[in-house]
Amino acid sequence: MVRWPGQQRGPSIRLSPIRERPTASISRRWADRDSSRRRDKQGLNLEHSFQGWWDDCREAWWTARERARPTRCVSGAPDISLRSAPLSPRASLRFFAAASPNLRRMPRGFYLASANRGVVTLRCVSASPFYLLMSPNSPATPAANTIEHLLSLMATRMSWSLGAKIVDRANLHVSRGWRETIAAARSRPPADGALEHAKTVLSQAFGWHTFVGNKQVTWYDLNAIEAPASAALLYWATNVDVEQLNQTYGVVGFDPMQAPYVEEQLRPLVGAPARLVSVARADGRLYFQYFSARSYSARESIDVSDWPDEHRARLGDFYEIIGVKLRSIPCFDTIVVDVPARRLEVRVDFAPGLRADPQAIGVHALLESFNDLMMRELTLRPAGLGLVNFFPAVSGIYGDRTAGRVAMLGFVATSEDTSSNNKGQTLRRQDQDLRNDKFHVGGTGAVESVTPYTIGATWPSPSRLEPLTIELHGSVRMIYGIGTRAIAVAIFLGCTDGRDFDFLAGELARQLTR
Amino acid sequence: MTNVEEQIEHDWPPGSPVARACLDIWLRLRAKEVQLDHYTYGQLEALTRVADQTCLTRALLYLATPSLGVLKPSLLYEFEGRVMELPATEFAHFAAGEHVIHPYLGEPLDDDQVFLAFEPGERLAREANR
Repeated sequence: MVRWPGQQRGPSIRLSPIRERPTASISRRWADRDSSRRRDKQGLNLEHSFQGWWDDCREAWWTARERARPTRCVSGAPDISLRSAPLSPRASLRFFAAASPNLRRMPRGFYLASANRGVVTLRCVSASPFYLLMSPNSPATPAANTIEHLLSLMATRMSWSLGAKIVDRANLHVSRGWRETIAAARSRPPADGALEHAKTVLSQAFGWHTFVGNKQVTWYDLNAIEAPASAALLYWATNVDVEQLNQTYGVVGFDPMQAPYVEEQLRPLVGAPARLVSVARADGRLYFQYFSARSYSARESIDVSDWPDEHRARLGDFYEIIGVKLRSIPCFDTIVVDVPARRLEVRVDFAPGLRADPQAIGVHALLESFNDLMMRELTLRPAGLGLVNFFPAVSGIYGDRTAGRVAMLGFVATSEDTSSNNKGQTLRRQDQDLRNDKFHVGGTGAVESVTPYTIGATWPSPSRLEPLTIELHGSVRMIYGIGTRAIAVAIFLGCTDGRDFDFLAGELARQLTR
Repeated sequence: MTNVEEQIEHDWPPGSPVARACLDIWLRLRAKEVQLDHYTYGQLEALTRVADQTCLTRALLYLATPSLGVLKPSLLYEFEGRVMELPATEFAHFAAGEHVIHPYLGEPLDDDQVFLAFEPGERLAREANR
């Protein structure tokens, strides 16, 4: 059992082994020789954590731009030694304090650090790296549920344009981007009375966003499973004691606002199965919320101006050096038993602008986890049956002038003697409608047939914070492929509360039944 | 002679290439029957004989001053293959040489990720409607 930073009592999440990550021989030897028993008992991934810790050290080294750097990493179980000859012992110790803040205030006796002639040795006296990552004393993260913590969590999942409006509603200073806004909030005295109001506003906004904001949505029609089974499921979802469920599955006490967001805390959780963290009922629906961490890759330009000359000379032919950076994000996925609509709804967190490792999303594992729970409760495995095909909604939205503004379109145009595959997007302004775009109107008037396969439509939000968007991504294969034309995932963007989400779901359902 | 032409000649010394670029662009734009939704730098460059990029940039920024109102600057950025407009408030930061903020990511955008375009300003729109 591990507690989130700041959590006072109650179990929250049980961490599982992470086996997919590559392991370094140094840490494997260390783990095998010294702590195999603990490893079995706790099921923790020591290798990865140490690799992450070592990466931290290197990163901090480069950040500090020290002239010297570790030249060798040797293993002498159970010790870890880093050789950094040009540094004095004191400087070496300072380096480690700076390199891995989590090490500085770890539980007493966890590590013993010593330095001799530039070699720093950390003696391991315990085997739970999650103490490093999740220690309540860790100074790497602000105390949970502070304004800084909330804003940092918001920055992992909300667009800045939406976040800035919410920060403004909370009467906090909106600065230039997330980083400066968080820094400004950090500088406010903790006794500031207005912060309580701000905390409430931010907490509510974040809490809603974990359920509705930027989601990949999949529907499973419960009418597709046998009538007695669907009736049993719907009856259970209507009448089950939610508190009892929370207790049964050990999710009491988890607060999404206290979720980790720092890379060092999240990276060991990437690839681990999603954990059920909350069960709640509202508006006749039963919500199961799962927490996991995912890695997304982003391309970043690397500044080599302070690299040694010989290294820069090797890169002389390159105009720009680009690196692919992995960024881990806390994710909240939701499975909803929607009793009124008689469907299961799967909402998976989606981060525009970041490319996710498809395996990291683990939708299949999420459904399996939910099905396991259903097996225990009802001896049913409902998730996966009755997948709703959104493809008919593409033509539906395109042909319905009342259905928002079309901002993205992919279509095949066919005339008497020519045909073309076209992709169109509105440019510059978000209040345009491609259906009224002169080029599109002229083009459609000149061909015999237009068959859309991809569409993105936008509506003004009832909450007036962000425009609401549905995107249905098909491909031209769906036009020419033999067999079912199927889009299983709809992307909902811009929702800030249940009303927004219900609006988009209602529009999508309306187009499917037209 | 319109107020715009007088003001250009008043604000720039005689024979200035910037003034010549301003007049070229203004007269050619005013003569258009239909104004475009927005103009790119390249489209405006094609309207003048002045080839010096520095002069042209100064001319465009001058034409985009609110007091003159011939052009209205618009900053664009690309995100996930879509080209969208940055909030109008970002232009002041851009003009001051500061970073502009990515509306989705909330992080500074690199200069080469920001595109500049010009909408017809109020004065130009008024002239075009005559």
